[in-house]
Amino acid sequence: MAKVAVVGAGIIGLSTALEIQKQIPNCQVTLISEKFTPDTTADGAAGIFGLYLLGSTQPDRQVVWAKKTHDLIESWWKTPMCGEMGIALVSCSRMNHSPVPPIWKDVVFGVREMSQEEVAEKGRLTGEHTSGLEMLTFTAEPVRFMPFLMKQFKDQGGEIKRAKVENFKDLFNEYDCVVNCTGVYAGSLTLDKKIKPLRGQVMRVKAPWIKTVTLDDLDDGNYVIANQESVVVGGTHQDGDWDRTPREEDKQFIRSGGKCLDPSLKDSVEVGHWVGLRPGRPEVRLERDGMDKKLVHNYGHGGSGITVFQGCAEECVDLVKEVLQEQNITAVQAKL
Amino acid sequence: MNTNLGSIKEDDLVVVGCGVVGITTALFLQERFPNSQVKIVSGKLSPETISDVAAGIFRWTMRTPPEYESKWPQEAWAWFQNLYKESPLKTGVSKLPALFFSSYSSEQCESKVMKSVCQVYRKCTPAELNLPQPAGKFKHGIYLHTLQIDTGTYIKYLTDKFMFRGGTIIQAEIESFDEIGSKYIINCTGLGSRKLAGDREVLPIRGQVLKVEAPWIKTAMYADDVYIIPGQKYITIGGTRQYNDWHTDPEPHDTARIWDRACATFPCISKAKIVDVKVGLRPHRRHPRVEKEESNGKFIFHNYGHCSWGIMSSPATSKQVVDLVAEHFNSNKSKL
Repeated sequence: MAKVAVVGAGIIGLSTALEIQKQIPNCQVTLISEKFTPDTTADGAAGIFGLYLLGSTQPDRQVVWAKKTHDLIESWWKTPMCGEMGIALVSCSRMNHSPVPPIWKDVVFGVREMSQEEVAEKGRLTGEHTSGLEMLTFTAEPVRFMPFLMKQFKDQGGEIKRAKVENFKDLFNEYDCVVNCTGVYAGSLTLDKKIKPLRGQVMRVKAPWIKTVTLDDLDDGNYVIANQESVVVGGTHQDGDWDRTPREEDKQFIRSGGKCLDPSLKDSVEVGHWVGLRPGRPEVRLERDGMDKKLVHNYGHGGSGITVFQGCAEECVDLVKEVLQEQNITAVQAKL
Repeated sequence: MNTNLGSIKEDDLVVVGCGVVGITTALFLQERFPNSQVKIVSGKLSPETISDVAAGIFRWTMRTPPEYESKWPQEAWAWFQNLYKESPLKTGVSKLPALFFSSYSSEQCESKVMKSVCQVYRKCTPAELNLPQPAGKFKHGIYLHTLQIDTGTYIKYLTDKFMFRGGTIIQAEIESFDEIGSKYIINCTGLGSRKLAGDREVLPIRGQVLKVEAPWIKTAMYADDVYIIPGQKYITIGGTRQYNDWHTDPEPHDTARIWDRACATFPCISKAKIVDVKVGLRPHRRHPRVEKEESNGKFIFHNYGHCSWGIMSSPATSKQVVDLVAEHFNSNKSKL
């Protein structure tokens, strides 16, 4: 039986671990992580589907990943578990998006250009919006669906280890393959200087009349995203900033900008503030390690974890199979 | 609670019926005739009116008298838009994206009026037609953005204004308009007009609905006779359309049928928590009756027969009936 370790139990690690279980049945998968849901990076996120902060990652690749993930989320939406998994079908408006048409136009439902009248209804802290795209897509709240995936992983024989990995080399004796899904923390385990936190602060409010998503895709843009029990108002993306304490000036930016985007927020009640450290990188690292033959990397997904996790997990499993085949592990050969 | 019909004076403007049509009409009368006493007489008050059962979606498929076709929808839409801008929380008006699917024909989903008032109105894409189950059954679909009104909140908002401006509400059932001591009656009795106005055309179309908690539903969905309409607090799942059925108690087999059909078409609703089952007898007529009648020395201004569209059309028909009252006073040069 093959033994594979997935390091990091955030959305990328968890989905990768599940995909390995699915595609390589004669395989013991161990998920090793310091943190598990609800304490991972994605747990505080609103979960709106959308490619964001993936840098120069090849667009074709992004679209393939996004399509597989959107299809999976749609299949979850079509089950009775939809609500418990935190999936919602929502209208999403993206202001000032470029280029048009977007590379993901065929992944989500019904992308259309907003009329000038629609665009004018939404305000900006500075200046005005020049354009907007509206579509139907999903929000998938990680804090709600990750526990399902965890249970599925365990039910299918997956092993959980709560531990901090100091060095991947420590794992090579015991495991036939090690998958690095450590996200923003990958810099301390690899020599990669390109992985940096993209600090995102958000606020949650009670505003049950808000049922849609509005995002301003400009760098100084705000966003308002309906979730099940609250509305997420954001946000920031501060490069290289590790501070997880909500800051006052960011709160002000979020409050003021949010109210411009959706004036009905004036009636909302604040319930909390949170900071997440997105794993920022000039491009996603989804490849085998150049030196360690047993090591596969799957990290650096920027603000798009929820949008690409399934596609990346599938591509990652192809690499895991490669690693196992090179070692003549019968698990993979039997399946072929 | 005031039950004293004896307090009514001859010159009072008395609105009979305090559903959404009655309270709206009363408020508009106050605004138009600030020197008059406007009183409401009603057997039932919110939350016990038929209006309170409704999901409150703005969907103009009502047969409108030709002379008002270009007037009523636009006036009603503008009214609710303004309330939304004022405060969704206080007025109960929210923006609502909605999908309308039909397995029969495109006419079932399309609406010329909605196309003209809604900012967003388009045909569903093939991918969207596969959202309801089973795949391939629903061949037609429209997607649009409309408004939704939480009736309880809305009626309270109107009532508070009415009372604040010196209005009076008398809770009393009457068998005949003769029991009311004023010369001017504005009849908003809905189904009650069958008896009170002697209008044999008015008949109930019984509607049973489920009020559920399902905060992951952010978009309204119709599929043939199933509808799922989110409000600010509850989701309304419906429904039935039983012609000339006067039963006001919830029927268990209607509940089962509504629930089973909804879950089969939209499995995502399966884990909703049913909070209440309600029945409303829609006051059906070929179209709302808005006209003046002289009877037994009284001037009766009718505003009844709104069937499924009471909330939606009430601002327009109420304005229409108040215009009739104003016209009457102008032409008779009565002292007010």
